[in-house]
Amino acid sequence: MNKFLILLAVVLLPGCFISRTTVDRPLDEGVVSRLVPGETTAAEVAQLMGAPAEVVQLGLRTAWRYEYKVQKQAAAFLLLVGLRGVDAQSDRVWVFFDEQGGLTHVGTSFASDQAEYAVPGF
Amino acid sequence: MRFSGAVWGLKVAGCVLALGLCSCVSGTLAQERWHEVISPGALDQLVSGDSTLEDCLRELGAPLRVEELGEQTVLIWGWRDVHGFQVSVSVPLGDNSANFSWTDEVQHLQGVVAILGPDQVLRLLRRGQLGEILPVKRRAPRLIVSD
Repeated sequence: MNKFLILLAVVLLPGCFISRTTVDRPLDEGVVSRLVPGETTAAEVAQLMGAPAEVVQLGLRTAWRYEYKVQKQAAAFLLLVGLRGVDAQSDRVWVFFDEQGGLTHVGTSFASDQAEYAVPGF
Repeated sequence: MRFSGAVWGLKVAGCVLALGLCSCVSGTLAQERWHEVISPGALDQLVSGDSTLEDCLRELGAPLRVEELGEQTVLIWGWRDVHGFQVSVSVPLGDNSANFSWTDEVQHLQGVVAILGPDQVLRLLRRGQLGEILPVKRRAPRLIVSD
């Protein structure tokens, strides 16, 4: 019986994998909370958080993006059918500066820990 | 008659199994989720002509993209939900191969677009298919120098 189950598993599950991919470094919520609009400058933001992933020019103002992406993927290949699930979430921070390089706004989303390994049907 | 039908069924199943084992036929059940969905209720808190950049960031979080559109600022949030089944058939033909695939995958490239004026006040707020609600970019005029 055990041999039959092993044989069945070998035949029905010729391949399966899980993978976790990340882009850039995790963002520290504690560091982000130290950014104070009206007080913090662009130089201080760069010192605290490092180089941004993107800089957008908005007239004379600028906006910087910091992002940490997590993608979790799980798949199981049965005899004829493959099951594949992908979940991609990210922590994202946008900081907005005025013409003088003073911080005016901070927008945050922290969802990287919500990424899950999910195979359809399971 | 029923027995004959069962035999045919077995033959067909055997053929499909054989094709599958040599990777000629394969099916994939896929489920993809990209980024967080923004609920319609979150948009109810924002009012065009009244809400500010700060309100947008507080209610909707950090956008996926920030763009400049003339003197306006465009904030874009987006998410994607894909689920469905795909069947692929590949038949070797000499040095080449013929491929066929069919899918019932549903792709939801949804999003929210907020357009703010130079005074950082919300001018326009849209929710829907991103391809339909994104503002059309106009190319800035350029000086053309010719000899």
